[in-house]
Amino acid sequence: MMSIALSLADIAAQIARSLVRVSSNDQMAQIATPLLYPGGSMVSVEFSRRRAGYLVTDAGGARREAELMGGERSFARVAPEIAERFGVRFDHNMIFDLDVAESDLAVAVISIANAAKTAVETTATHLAAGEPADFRISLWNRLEGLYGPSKVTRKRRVRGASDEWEFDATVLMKERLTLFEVVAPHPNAVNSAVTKFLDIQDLGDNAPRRIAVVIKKKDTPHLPVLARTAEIVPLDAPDKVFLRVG
Amino acid sequence: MSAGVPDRQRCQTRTESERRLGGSCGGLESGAPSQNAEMSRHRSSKQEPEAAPDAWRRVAEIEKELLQWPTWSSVAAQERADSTDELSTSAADTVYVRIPLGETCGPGLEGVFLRLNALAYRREFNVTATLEFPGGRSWITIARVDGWPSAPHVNIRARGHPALRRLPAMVEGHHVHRFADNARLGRSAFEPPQNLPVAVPVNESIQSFRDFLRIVAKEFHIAPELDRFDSPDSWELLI
Repeated sequence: MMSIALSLADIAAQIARSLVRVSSNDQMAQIATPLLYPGGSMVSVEFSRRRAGYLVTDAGGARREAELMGGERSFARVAPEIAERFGVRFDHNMIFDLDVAESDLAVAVISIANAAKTAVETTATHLAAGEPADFRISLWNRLEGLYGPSKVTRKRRVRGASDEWEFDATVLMKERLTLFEVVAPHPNAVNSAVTKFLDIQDLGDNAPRRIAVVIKKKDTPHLPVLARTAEIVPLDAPDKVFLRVG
Repeated sequence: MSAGVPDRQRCQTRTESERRLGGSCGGLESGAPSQNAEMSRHRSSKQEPEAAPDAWRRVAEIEKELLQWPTWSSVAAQERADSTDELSTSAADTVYVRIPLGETCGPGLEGVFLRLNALAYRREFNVTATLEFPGGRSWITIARVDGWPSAPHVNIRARGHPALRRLPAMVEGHHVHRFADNARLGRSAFEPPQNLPVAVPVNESIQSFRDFLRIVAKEFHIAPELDRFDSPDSWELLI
């Protein structure tokens, strides 16, 4: 509880001190900033000494927040551009700045923290709006939960009668391969899926089983054509349907 | 892994939570707002937030058990973006495991999972457990426990809510985002832009991964055998 005897300047100084949390060990120091991720966690930034200047990172916190929302694909797409906007960079895990001079550390911390917060918020907005690429995550989670991760391959290339194609997921059970492709509800997505499935179908009797996983069945065009090349399964079909087709 | 799927011998009687709920937890497809919330919305001219579905509440409250004993993901198997920068680290690599849950002495709960998420190469730091309900893009997180979090949690939404104002404004250390607290804010509190904004501190001491699992089991109403689940394999290599 603040004392009423304190001056406004003293109160402001107290508030300023309470806005951040600082911790450190021999290798690195961490600052928890007043910026918040969706959910309320303070955005924290770490920095450590390198041969040339400092390495400043979010320690993968932003990606982890996105992952826990099921938005890792969206995050991987938006993070590089957002990092660039804040003058920092993104590897597959962390938002970071490298070789930062000591005099620039405060700006680097501000930049990393804002980039991390913005990237997670953008991901959350995409998730709420519905981003097609993340439906693949849904499919992978579903298949890996049902068949076990060892039986499922994400984004596998499979040879058809004329060419090689990448499918969103494959399941290999008892030497029988099943191909899954997420199909968004627009003509180009359907055409692309039909082309792939048709070439696989042309392998004849030994062709792998083909499953078109539709996001919104009622909005998906050319369903009869798609159905001639693959079995159509809605993404939100019950587990027993996915177990039957795999 | 140290054990098989826990036995179901304790399923002789209906659980306390079942009796309290007045039935089993079947019919998870019901994503509709609670009937009480619907009635109160009609009674009141004031715009009420859409209530969290009853099915979420049932899953949060019923006693559950592990249906499988899966292994942690491997770091290499996870999907990642291509890195074109000169820095490509593994320090922040994460591993996870999704454990399907069933109702104790009842059927499996389709699409309901316990997810454990941890840093692959940093022991007992930023470890998270989430209770997932099918829906949305893939799942909706309806409760969450954060162990050894790297930063405090700030209860900005709780300040403005009469029933939540008692909660600490800032939570340092281990904390839990309980379904019941967040449900007071309505369904939107569970959607990604809000992502369970209300949390309370964990009062018990957490000294180990096993301690963490005990808290998760208690908070999520999962059978206590959960604490036999091993920590990530990658932690074994750490000094």
